[in-house]
Amino acid sequence: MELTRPWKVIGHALLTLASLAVLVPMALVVLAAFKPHNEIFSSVPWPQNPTWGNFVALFRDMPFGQYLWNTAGTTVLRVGGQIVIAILTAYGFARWQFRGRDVAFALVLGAMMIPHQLTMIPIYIMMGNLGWFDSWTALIVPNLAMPFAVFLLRQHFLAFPPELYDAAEMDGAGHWRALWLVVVPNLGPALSALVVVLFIDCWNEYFWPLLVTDSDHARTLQVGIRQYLQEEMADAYGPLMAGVTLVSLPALAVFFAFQRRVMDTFVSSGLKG
Amino acid sequence: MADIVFDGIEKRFGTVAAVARFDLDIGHGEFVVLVGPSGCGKTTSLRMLAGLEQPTAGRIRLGPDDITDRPPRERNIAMVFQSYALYPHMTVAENIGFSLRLKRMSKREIAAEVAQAAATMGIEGLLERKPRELSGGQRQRVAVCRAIVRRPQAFLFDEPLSNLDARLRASARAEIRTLQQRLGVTAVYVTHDQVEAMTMADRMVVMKDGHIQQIGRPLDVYAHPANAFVAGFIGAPAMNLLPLARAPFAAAGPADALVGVRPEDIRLDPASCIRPQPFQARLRHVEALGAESLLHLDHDGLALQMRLPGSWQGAELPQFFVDAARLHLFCGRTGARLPASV
Repeated sequence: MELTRPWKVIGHALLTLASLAVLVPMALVVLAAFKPHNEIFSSVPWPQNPTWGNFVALFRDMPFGQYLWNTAGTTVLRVGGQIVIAILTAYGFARWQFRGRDVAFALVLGAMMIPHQLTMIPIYIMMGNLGWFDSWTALIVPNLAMPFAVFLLRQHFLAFPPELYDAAEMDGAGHWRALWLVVVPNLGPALSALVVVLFIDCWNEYFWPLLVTDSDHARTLQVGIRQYLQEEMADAYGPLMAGVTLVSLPALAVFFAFQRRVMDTFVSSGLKG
Repeated sequence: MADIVFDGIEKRFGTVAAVARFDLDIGHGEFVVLVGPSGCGKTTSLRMLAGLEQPTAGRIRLGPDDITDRPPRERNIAMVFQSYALYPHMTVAENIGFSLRLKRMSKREIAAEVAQAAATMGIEGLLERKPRELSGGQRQRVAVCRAIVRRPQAFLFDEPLSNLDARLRASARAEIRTLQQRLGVTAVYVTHDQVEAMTMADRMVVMKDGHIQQIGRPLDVYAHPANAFVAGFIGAPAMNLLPLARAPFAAAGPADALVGVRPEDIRLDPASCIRPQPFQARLRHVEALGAESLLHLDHDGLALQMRLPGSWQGAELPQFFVDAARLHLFCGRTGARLPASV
């Protein structure tokens, strides 16, 4: 149904307000990152004497590079692992007939509905028993199985043209080679959308790394910046804003680069499922 | 010795029998067409031969080997799919060479084989293109190319021409048949188009509801259909099938029988019939096709079709004749051909 002009104007006004509500705080953070210490609480939102000093302080006064390495490393390994596991699991659910398949898939869907906070304490205890505290392993392994990713990819596998599976089989491919040589290369849009979502989810994660890391050795950026600035540089809001700006950049860049693909994938998975 | 043997093959999906008691021997180098309406079990039979479906009962042999339980990759059979099933992310050359790549042949060998297969189908200029850059006819040629590059023991075709326009389909029919004869490979071809079956097959297998209705050479099946279904399915336009009791012409047979007459066996000139039987009918409509005309007749609510060579130049109320020597009789209850038929 075509909207009339007044409703269009109202709609656009509301969307503009909602966008501003998100964008203004972000802009203030970025602008504050370039303010010297004495301008941080100034009522003028932009820096009158812009400086890179806050960024320099980040690398000089705290192990920002180590945090960045921990975050990037664990994110790459975790997202890679999540994708591989999700592809294999989703393919099994979509293509194989086996006893208990539907029950198993229902359990996977059920796992999507259990709040993460509910399972944190048992997993936390498990990490302790395994001696994995304060390591990349604790940041990566408990999060490798992502029910949401399995669900999303299964929908795409189900919508994949069955003749291509058949053609691959006729050409001599077993399940393994059909999956990696024919199916996965044609899942480009879905996979890139999934990578974006998983990347942002992992990159921005705060609570789990806060629980299982205890030193700069494994601490991620999100936790590190807050803890370091709270404990070592209590009133250093400039470096804090610089840190937040830097931390946000990769996630924002990835999202803006792939946002259309992300939307298309989720819309189509809903329709095709 | 038969190259492919279906021995008592059955396929059930739950309580539904998609294919029931399918027995067929296919000779080496033979071109066999499975033909029937949608849902008759022809594609399921082909997929069981390919290994893409497992039969519920029965055995399939290829040459001396029982291949019933072998996966597709161990059968040395190639298949051309209805949608062509070309891999969208690969070039034409990669599509054709994919099976050879899986056999771990060297890149040089693959390139040589692909070039040879491409030359056979005349698609050398398309090798670097992606499937989305090809027309329907080109895709179909690539799909055939992908099948022949493997040098299989048998070709399977699953309605490969159904996505082509009528003109291209006619030339593709001849091309596939010529290629199969040149390579001397056994071929099993599935179609719902009886013209394809008639023009391409050494033998055709007419199927309905999972059951084989008739196996035979196309002209034999056309001339001596085993039952009313085959009589109505094979031939375009279809055979006129009328209840004997209401037929406008005389024919000997049980009262509940069906009498069949091909459209070309209704004539205007009694001299062209061995035993002419006159009848009256109202001319409702004429389809002028150039080389021939199709006349739609009506007799007391019964519709008949008649085929005439050339264009219709007849009178308003013509006299029609059937050749009693060319009538077909079928049991009204079972549809089976009755012995009194020609």
